[in-house]
Amino acid sequence: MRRTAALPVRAVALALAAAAALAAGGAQAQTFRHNFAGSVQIDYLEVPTERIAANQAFDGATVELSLKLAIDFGDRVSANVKVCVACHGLETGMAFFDLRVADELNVRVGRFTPAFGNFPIRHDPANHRTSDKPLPYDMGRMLRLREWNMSILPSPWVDNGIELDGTFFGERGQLDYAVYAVGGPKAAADSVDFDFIQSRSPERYYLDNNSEPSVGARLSGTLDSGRLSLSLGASAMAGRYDPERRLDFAIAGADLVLQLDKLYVRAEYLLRWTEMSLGDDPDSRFRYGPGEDGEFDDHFVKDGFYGEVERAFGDFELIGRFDGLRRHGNVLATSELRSRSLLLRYTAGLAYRLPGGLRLKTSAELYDFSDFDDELALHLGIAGSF
Amino acid sequence: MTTDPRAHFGGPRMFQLGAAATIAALFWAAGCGGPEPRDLSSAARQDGADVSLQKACQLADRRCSHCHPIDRVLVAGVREPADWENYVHRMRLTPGSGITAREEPAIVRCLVRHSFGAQVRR
Repeated sequence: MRRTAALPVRAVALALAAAAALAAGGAQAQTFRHNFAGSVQIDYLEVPTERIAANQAFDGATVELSLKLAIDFGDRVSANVKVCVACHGLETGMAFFDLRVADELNVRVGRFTPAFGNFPIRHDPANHRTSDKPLPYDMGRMLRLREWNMSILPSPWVDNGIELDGTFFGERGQLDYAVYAVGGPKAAADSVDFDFIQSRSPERYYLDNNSEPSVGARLSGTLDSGRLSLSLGASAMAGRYDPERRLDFAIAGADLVLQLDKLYVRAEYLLRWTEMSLGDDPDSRFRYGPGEDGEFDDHFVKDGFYGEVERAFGDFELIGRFDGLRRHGNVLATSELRSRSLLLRYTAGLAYRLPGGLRLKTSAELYDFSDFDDELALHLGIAGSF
Repeated sequence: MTTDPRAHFGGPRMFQLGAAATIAALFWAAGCGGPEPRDLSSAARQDGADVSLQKACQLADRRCSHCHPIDRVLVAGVREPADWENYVHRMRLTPGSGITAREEPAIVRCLVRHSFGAQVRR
């Protein structure tokens, strides 16, 4: 049955019009305020266990820069524009309007990071203490990134679309929600996984590749009792990623953040179910043959987690992180992974606060691969915000 | 290289080491005192701020550091006290900020005092 995008489009148009009308009411006779902020991180990645690590990672020096301008048009309408420069060149990380009807209802339209998980809130290098991101959200800094096709949902995941979100505040906490429709991940026809490069390639334009939005939602709650606060969240996203609109995907996640004075404990789990195109000749395309029923599996499951502990001592910050990725499912005949592959990583980090808001970041990471030799990675970086 | 991934999933050595190290770090970090981090509340104490302002700054430390290091606040380029109202209001509306409408003025009071000194009254 052919799906139609008419209903969501109509609902979106109505929501947008209503929010704009309500928001415009409070925007009159206000002065526009603007704020400019940015951050820079320069990081050097050394892999001492490899003579030449460039064939499996973006090692050496990398620079990440972000510049953000926020403008408030009164109390209810604001715009945010953010550009980022990193390994992939200049990208637009944000270009959206917020139309806020109340704390409980905000309409976001444009190009933004849809609400999924907890880490993306802190994805800016100046907002987290390690030089790289946890494996489920890694965007190009992990070892063996090509063999694994990176993570589950590289952060920041930036897409065009619309999001309705809001917060209900209570005496001892808050409840946040978000629902959204975005262009969704992309890949070529006849694919077996996302093609993350297509998602940000100007050659493909920044457009939905299959005329059908991907949809998602997030619900999170925070309880606060003075010294202790606990946040729990759940997220999901689903859609189709190929131009022929045949290949489904679904991502689900759960997250926890515990704050006890200066101590932070964070944990997340993400799982992605991805349908693969079997092609005309699966026997030669895939490494593993059909199952006992004579059929080839047409999907794989990739899941991952991280748990990290962070504590500040004077100008020092200590970070301990344990994260991993796992993949179950058939692989292309050319892949170096197997039908069940695992990566575990152990990270110890130390950050030192320098004057002027700069932070020296160091970390050592032990990669424990099921399919490759284990590796050691060392990061030395400096990050700052302004 | 492990030949059987399933054996690897259950391969206890590295997993146990990692888990033990994480747990040890957690207990150690929770139990240790150590020097105070340089933040808004420690600055307020050193400046001889009254108890109410110190509490406001403790609140600001807790809420702001939920999403980013407190450094981002300490180096923010604000030009006038009203900028902080604008900043904090925007941050309050960030999902998961934990900043209630009632807490907003207290956090602004701390930040204004930190940026512009005790003479400024909001």
